[in-house]
Amino acid sequence: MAVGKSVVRVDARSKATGKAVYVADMFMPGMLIGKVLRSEFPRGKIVRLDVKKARSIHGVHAVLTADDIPGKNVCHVVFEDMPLLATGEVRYVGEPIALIAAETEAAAQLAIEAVELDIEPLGILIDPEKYNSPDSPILFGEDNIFAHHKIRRGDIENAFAQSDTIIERVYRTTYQEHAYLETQGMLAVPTAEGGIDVYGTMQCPFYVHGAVSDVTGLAQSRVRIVQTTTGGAFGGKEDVPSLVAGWASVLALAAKRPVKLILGRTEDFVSMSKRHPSRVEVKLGATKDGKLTAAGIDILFDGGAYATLSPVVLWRGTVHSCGPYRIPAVRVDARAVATNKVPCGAYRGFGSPQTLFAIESAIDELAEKIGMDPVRIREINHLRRGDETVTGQKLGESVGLQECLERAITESDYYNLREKLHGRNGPVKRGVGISTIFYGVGLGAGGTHFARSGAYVGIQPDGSVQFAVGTTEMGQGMRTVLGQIVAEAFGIPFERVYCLPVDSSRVPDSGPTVASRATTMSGRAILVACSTLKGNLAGVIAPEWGVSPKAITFGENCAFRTDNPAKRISWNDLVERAFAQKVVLTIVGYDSSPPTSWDEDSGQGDAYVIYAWAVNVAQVAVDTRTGVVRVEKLWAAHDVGKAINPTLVEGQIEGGSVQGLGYALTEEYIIDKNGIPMNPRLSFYHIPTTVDAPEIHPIIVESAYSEGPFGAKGFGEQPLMGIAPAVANAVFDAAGIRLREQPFLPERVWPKLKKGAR
Amino acid sequence: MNIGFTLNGRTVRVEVGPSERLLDVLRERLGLTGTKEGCGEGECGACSIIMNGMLVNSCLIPAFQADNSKIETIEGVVETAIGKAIVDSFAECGAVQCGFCTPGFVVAGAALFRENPDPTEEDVRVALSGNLCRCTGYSKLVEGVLIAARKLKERK
Amino acid sequence: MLRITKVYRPDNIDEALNIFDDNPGIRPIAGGTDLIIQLSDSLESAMLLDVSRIEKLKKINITGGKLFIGAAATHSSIAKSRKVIESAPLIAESSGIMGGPAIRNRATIGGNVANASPVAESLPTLIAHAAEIVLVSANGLRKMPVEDFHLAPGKTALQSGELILGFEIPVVSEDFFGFYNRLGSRAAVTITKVGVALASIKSGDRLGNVRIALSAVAPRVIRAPETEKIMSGANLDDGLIEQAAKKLVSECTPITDFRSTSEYRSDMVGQLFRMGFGRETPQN
Repeated sequence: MAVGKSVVRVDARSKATGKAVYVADMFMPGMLIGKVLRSEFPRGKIVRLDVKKARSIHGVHAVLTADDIPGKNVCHVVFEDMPLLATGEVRYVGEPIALIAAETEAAAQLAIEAVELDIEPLGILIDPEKYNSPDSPILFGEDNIFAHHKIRRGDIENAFAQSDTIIERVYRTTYQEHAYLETQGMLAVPTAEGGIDVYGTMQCPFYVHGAVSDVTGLAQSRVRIVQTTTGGAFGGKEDVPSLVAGWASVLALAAKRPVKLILGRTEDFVSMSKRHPSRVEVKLGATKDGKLTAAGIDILFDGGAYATLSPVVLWRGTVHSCGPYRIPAVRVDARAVATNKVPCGAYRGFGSPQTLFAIESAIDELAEKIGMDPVRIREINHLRRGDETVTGQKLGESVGLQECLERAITESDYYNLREKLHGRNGPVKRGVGISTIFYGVGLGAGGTHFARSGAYVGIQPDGSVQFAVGTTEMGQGMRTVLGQIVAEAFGIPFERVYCLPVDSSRVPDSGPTVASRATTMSGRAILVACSTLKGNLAGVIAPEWGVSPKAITFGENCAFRTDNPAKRISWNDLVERAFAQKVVLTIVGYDSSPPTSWDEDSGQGDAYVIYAWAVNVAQVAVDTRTGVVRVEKLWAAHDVGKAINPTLVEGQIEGGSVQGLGYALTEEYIIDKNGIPMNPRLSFYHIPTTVDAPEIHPIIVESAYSEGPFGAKGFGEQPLMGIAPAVANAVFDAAGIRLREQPFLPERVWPKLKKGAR
Repeated sequence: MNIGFTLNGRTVRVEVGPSERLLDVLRERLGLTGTKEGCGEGECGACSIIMNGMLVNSCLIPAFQADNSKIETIEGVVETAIGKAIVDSFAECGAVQCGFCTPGFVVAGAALFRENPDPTEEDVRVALSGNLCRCTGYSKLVEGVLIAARKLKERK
Repeated sequence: MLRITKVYRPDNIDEALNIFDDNPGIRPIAGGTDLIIQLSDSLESAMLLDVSRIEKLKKINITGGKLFIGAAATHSSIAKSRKVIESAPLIAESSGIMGGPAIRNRATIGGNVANASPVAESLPTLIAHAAEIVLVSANGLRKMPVEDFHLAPGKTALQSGELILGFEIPVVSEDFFGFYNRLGSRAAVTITKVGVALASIKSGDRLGNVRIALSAVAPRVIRAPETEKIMSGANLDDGLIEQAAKKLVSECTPITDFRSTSEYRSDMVGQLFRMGFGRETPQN
């Protein structure tokens, strides 16, 4: 059995020894260094852009502006509003204006400095809450709104009128930077026959494939994208690598040489996507015994200068905005708006951490007003099998929230722990908080056109198996997990299976590696391929055994008669015979996601095919003198359907939790009122270190999903999503202050402690 | 400037310019790409190497300062018993995810063992505090170093 | 990108001073942990005088009741030095929490002081310990209290042609009482948001020779003379600590920047001060 076992990751040793090749580690004969000249203004008119001097610098092979792009000057994401290079107007600090390819870093830098650029500043819109103010410039469409999503369910006015208790609160969150350790980078190599090969760090090779074809004007058939070992992504390498690949490609074609373009850390901070800042207004109603009656939610996301992924990020945020609860009457209005700041995009959770912070804090505030324990109010209202979500979706199976809740409460010894912590005296107050969350697995109704996947599986003459998929390994362990699925399907040892690197020429477009979908979607495509190959193999031996190929089972490194397991042939012997008989043993499996449905006007429908569930319990210490909040322990229970590799599941829980901890406590990326980034470096943007990370207790719950490979469903984003509200709720439990603005910096906590503010 | 130093036990000589960083000389001139650049300001530890027995960030060292020094990179560290033990326990306990920070953690762990072969969890956390990891949440990295320490001790 | 045009690597002080004379504007470098970042961010080119080969600058020793720490002594060598731990404990403490382990192995105390940041980790503890900075030039030696050396952010009293030789610190007596408390943005590898160092001599319930230095609450690391006056010789009880904490807050002029707010920094000066008397280190 390969599935359910914590096999050692296939890439652990190559990475730990430094042998794994990331894009920056690649060198080629004649390779040039690519660099980008960027705007220092949040908005302005380009009145002069002269690259003559820059082109004449020794060692410089290409200096390109928007006019030099051979294809379309666009980076298509949801709309086509973002150019590859600015033309006419720049809209955020960091926006690309010109590209340089040179023999050395120094020559490229000198060329950047030699570009003659004059920008005439224009009026700016920085505060998203002023998107419709008459003084604000119009940056997008007619009203600065990238997208407006709604949920309409039940009679909301009446439901609030009937409620015994109502609370209304506003919650705010700020940017989060992915801080993947490997910055963005691409190496573009022109081929001898007029095509281009692009190597680099990315989540979505097929997005990059389309983007490179668009900007180079080359047919898609002449563009090949190869993913190199990817040093973390977390959503940050979903759409923006298309830009980086576009820049490297047009430079390589112009210079007729390979061009490697690796972003520096500050450049990456300033210009690459972030988690959307948000303002979420929540109005909740309940009966006096704690039953939720109504939710009215108003969401505003700061999208930045271009739409990029904002419409879909906002959609997920909308669908998750009411939490995992039964609420009969709901009205949600969500808007993402344009500002003169870096475009925001995908980040682990994709719009849901913001809205879940709001709803999970509000539920606690409501419980407090009713005089009810935070766990009790969740027990009363949380979704169970057979319930309807606020979008009207009936939950058929794999609803493990109750088990998550029970196990998190039991394993943290929640009630006794609280009592014990409250009993301690002194200026450092301790307390416990909880959050219950859910996550729609896969792209759902917001991205059905991408919801497909392919897998190449090839049985080799020696019986070993190689396979390739179109989703990517970015650290989460996908290559290992999918290898386990292949091994399990054929009943052969894991060691006999090998996952090839992602290459757009090897597998069909499999959609993006986002939305926690790689295990389920590529897993399903693999199972389709394996099933056909098993049929082909069984067909070789079935006539001899006098049974139908369907009556043959694969396992224990053999094929055997299902009704008489003693009748068997070893895997290797069977493969050898199949080769001799010229049976097809290499195929591409293809699968598309089960259907979803959505009505944009009412926000009703089957938003996602399946949901994952989680409960977090956080123990915090609040120093009432300094306002410093320390998370001491975390219990994180996650319903993953089936843990194909439990150690890797724990790794996702622990890593996601600590990213969530950074989001909750220390990570604050600041763009000031003039649109200038204040702290675009790792020394000023504080992600947790070894000594900040708490003791974490991962709890794996397995409520099988019948359509998932061996019952598995995706969950990689979820560990981050519920940490901030659990910590805020714990701070309230410890010190009686309510934190409605993330991150919970001492500078925000301390004034509330002083006032005793609720 | 012509500089010479011991690199993973071998003597090397290279001609370097005054503006070259040791990190770039190791990666681009000497082909040792296991040492990574994550931030370029000594904050993330991906470029960790051992110089004259001490853990240092190679992104902040001008190459000329390597003259006459003894340098060990991840490529050399993993050939030692200590390096092997750390790599093995990192693999076994699931301490590796994206891997970009991992060589730096192996080097930092090895530097710790030379000073303190029997570290407590607190010692390990402090010794690794200059190395950032965004994937693992650190639990398994700390556990991996502790397991390696125990194994090395048992072997003695 | 670095734009270093020329490098000198002298083996001794005399050689270094000669190079100084011949190359006005040349910048000394030792560990480079601050300088390399500054130079990478800058468009200007620079000449470097690498002092890391001058053995004398790395010395830590005690002569005539004074601890000498060479300017090129690294923070890790200072934090681990028995001599420093016993003779000037706060200096060992600040060196031990500065940056991360790899930074401490390279960064030097002279560099930290020369960088002249109001958040420099070593400045408050050097000042609390009444350290004198020893400067050397072709004209000979010059000494001054460290607090007079640090003039403004990035500005010191260093004259052209002068090199920091090291620091002379009176060895503490057995009845030393002191603490260094600071807050950062996370538990390790963090820049100080506000820091309080206090050194004194305790006899019975009284403190004498009280010296207090505060970081990140003024354009430079400052003393708190009025608080020192209140404390010196008075009976150390809760009332005095409270009175002194209030006075201390009134003696600083913190600003609001992207790292913290002035209100918070002010109040924390008092809190860190109170905690110090309870032998408490704040959680970060």
